[in-house]
Amino acid sequence: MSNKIDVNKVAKLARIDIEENEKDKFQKEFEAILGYMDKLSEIDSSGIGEFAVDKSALNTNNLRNDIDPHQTSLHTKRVLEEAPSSENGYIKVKHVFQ
Amino acid sequence: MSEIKSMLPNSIKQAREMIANGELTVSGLVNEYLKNIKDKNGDINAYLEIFEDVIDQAKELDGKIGEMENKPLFGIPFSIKDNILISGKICSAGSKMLENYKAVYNATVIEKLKDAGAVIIGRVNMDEFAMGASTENSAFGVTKNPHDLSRVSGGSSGGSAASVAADMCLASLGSDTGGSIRQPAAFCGAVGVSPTYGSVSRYGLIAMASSFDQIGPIAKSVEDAEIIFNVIKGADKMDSTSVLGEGKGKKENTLPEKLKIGILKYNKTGVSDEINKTVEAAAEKLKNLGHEITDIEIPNIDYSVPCYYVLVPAEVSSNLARFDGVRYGLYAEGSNLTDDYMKTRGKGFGAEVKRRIMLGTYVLSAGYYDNYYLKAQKAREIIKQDFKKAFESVDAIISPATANTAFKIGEKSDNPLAMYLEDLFTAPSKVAGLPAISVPFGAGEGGLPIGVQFTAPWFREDILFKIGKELEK
Repeated sequence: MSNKIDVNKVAKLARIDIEENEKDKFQKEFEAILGYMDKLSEIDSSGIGEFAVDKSALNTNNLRNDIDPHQTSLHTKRVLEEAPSSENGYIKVKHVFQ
Repeated sequence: MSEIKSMLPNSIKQAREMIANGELTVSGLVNEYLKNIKDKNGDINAYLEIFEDVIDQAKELDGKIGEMENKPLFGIPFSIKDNILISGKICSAGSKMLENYKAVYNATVIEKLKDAGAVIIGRVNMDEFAMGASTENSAFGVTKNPHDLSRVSGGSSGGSAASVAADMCLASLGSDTGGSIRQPAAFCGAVGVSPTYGSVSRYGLIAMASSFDQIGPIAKSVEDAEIIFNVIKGADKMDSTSVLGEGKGKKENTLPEKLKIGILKYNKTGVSDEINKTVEAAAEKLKNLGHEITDIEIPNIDYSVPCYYVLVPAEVSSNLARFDGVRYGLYAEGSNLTDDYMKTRGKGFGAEVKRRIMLGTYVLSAGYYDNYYLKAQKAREIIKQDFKKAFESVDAIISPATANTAFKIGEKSDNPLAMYLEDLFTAPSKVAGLPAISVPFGAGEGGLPIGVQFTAPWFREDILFKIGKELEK
């Protein structure tokens, strides 16, 4: 496996501002960690199909039925109190489309 | 200080007796712990907050002493890891991101503790968003080990373990994703249980890696841990991954008097001598009690930590996307909406959280997914199969909980990979979703506690409690 990791690109994908002076440190740490993860390439997983993985209990999606909703606006006030910015009962954000 | 300590009960059973006999009221008991917290917390930094309503909670229980019989945790003072929601209280997850966040509902485990009569003293420190093995990643300072203040308490549930070990509460709830209950319990000399995946509801637990996270007890004895586990377990419609443990494998749910316990084959050179010897001594003791001791191998166990550190960051990168300065928590203004996200997350998250989100983003990105994420999922399946096979021949597996006793503060904080390897013995059971317990057994150099770990088949916490109680006798 190649351990080239472009910190700028990954930070942007992850929506995290990182300082210029942190980049080198992250770069070195990522290379060490990914180097260790390369151990995984040794494991013989030929007997495990993708479907076996999907069926394993830890990866099964188990969604509740979309029934019995709580009364509308029951929690609105408390939830909005935690929002950094709100207006007229809604969370307020900057324009999504410029 | 010894005078105060002598007033404090050593177990839930003893505390209940003291209250039932009228030797102590719940308020009196809570006050003893509050005095102890006042004495010690300045040095140890386990509690981030003592709740202002703690005396009211105690007084209310004193008025309902007749209900004690039906409430297994009546009057028992708990500390709660700061990633478990308590309605109206701050829940910071050890992060600047949620420093002022007030929970809008109770976690299911909190409802269950309250129904059982527990008193919740306060919230305790942890590595930020439960990522770490020392609490050094907390935005609110390290929690020190009560046995040696120059050492870490372990993590991420370091505040839980230290508060139990220093008699600043009688028991605590922590969360375990890769070892976060058992490793700090081992470092602090407490009992820690990571229950079977799905046995305890995570509703109201701030998510880190959802296919691993479990809430569990940290306590002074195995019996206490068992009492607490029996209160918090069970299916919950608010967490669709929770299941009724009793349902699965019920046919074989008999608990034989004599068990077959396998000693895990592991590389002894990477583990301190005193811990290798302690594991042997624990096995010897169990053998003398009539259990059959044998060797057991999990052939692919060495892939557990790399597998874990691919899957967990992947899940972290997805779970922590919700912290964007929109709905709750810290907000830092940028030039547009995307820049708001970037600035908020840059400012709100500490280094380890950033590291894991970025690693997770990387292993899930196009071109790398197959080599890392999919490969790790397959490794996870292989490791599970290994355990399944092992449990065809043994009832439980004994191993170290940690490779060393508590390390010095600062010793590993600049080396993320060294910190990841702290999970060497605790990650495998989580990769497989198995229950495991760390039980204090003896002490190493400097009187530092050592934990011995037992792993049992899925939903067989009863086996862990039986062996644990016999070991600590």
